[in-house]
Amino acid sequence: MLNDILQGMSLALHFDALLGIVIGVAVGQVLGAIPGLTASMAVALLIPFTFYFDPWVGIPMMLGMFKGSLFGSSMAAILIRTPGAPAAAATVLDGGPMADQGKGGKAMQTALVASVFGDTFSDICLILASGVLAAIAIRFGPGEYVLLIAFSLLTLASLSGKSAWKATVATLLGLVFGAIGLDPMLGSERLTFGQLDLFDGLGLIPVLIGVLAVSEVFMQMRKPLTHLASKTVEFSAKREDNRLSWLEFRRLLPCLTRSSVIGTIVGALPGLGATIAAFLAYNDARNISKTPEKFGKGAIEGVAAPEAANNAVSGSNMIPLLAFGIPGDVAAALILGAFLIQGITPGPVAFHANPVPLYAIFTAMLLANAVNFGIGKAFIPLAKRMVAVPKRLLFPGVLIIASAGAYAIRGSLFDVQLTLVSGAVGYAMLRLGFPPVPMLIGFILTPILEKSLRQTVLVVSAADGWLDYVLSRPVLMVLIVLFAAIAVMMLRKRMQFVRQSTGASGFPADE
Amino acid sequence: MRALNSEAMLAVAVLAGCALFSFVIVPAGVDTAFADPRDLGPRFILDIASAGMAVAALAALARIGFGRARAGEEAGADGDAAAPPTPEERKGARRVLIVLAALGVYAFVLIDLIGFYVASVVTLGAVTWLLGERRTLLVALYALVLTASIYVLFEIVLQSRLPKGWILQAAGLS
Repeated sequence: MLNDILQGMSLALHFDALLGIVIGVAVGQVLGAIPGLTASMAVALLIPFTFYFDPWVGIPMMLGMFKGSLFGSSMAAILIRTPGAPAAAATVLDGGPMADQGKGGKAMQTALVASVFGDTFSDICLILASGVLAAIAIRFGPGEYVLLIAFSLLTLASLSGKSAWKATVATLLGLVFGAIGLDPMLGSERLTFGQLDLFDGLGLIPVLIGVLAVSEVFMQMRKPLTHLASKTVEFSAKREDNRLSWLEFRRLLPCLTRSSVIGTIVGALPGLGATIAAFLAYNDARNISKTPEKFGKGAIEGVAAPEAANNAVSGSNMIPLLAFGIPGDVAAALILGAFLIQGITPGPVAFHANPVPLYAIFTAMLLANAVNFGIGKAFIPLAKRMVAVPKRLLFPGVLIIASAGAYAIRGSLFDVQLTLVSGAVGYAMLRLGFPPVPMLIGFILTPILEKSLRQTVLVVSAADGWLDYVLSRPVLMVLIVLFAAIAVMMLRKRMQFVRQSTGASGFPADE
Repeated sequence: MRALNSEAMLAVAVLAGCALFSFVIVPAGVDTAFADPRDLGPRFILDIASAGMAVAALAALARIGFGRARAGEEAGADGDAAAPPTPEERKGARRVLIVLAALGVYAFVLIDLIGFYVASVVTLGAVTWLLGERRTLLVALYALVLTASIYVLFEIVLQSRLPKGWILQAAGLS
């Protein structure tokens, strides 16, 4: 095992891999800082380019991009109140007022320290937890996988978006899209209508780029033309307004730790996501603060807490991906896409059969945090120029880069068309209130869900029925009890919420 | 009330879509000829998804109906009404449709016809103009510089070929 760890570390510490991390973080920070380019969007656009590199350049680069773009999106949130990702919305609450007071530099330094702190905290939890969970997951058969995926989809459907029915429809629509192509067991055509390009199914990367990047550009284009022009930001010249002192850091440490714990727990559960973690941490920081009245008016904890929490999510949401091979949210789905195009299939078997790449990934993640900190420090003074890029120039560029990236994966014009169609579908979903993320997760999980389900049915038909099958699998029984308990708890919470929100008018809150 | 009605209409549209999918599209698009009787078959996941969507839409309709019944006459009050779209919002929606149409022409016609690079210069210019940038020289320069950057990245750095288009190929220019 020690040998595997050392081999993995040496892969990530190779010069090319380090260069990949540095380039990834720098590009991620720049793109993330541009208003209108969300972190997911930036990474979706950049993933195809990593395909051209050796896996041990491409994967560290992509991990660096993700971490860099998360911090970059916080800069846009602080400086011009345009969160680069929904998760950075909580940062706007106090980051915006700090920037108005000329303390944009201090707010960004705080965001950087909090981001790296939260990220490192959850990466360590990921390293400790995923191996243990994978050791359990190696005992999983198709039945356990069906249960696990069904539970993930159920959680997503009930927790994503404001309306449970719309999230359910979105998740199931993802299953339909994921089923297009040749049948995995029989090889017969399914919704391909003779189109050869569809035989392998809808391409993951074009769909991700379309739904995450193109649809978001369309949403932004709806805004008034004045919104599409540039904005400017003023920084105070005072030194103390542009740095985070050691004393301030020590004062923030308990808040950073609590927020990182919140982010890590939320990130490990499928469907909750960084936005919820950021707001939970923000509320927690306000509740324990001795000066809660300062929140919303430029409190430094109001920047540190959501930043630590939303970055902590990014590490722990890889726990289900690496331990079970199941992405818990869109960030993990993007990372899964990058792993797959590089020929790496995450999951419990990888821990057992070929753990070296996983140790390399862990090392690259920790290194990327350090690089993110270093480059972030240097990048902060340049940020106010980045956030001033006019969107009316940016968005057409995004659309063309998205098309080029989609084409580059397989050299197929069909993928460019698929990207555009996916963008239109994502836009329609957003306009109608259907959350696109559950659709994406459903789409990604369909092949493994369907295959596992059909294998389970075949195994049961060869055995003495369902009851015997379930009773012969202790892990499955434990999962059934565990998931049933969680489902009942979630249902009770949801009904409580609906009752509270319909109390006054009799109308459901989400309608 | 308007928001409520649009929600109900959406649920009805989902129901209709599920019916169309299950009774027309799936039978026409799924080959079940070689299905093993012990296997769930290639339709199963599609049927489950469609049925699940229909149940979700029905549940939404039931909730809306239940909410209206409970709230009685008071419920339709103005407080629940969604504001009609402003002229600016209508313009925004129209802008997106025009850009979508332009991109449709780009992805389905132009790239194949005149190649990725020429098509990108034309589309970039057109979309930037549509988004309100009226400085012609800047628009042209931006379209050319960005496309040239993509050319350098793909053709020279990544050694990847983007489509040249059949007109250029027929003329022997690529």
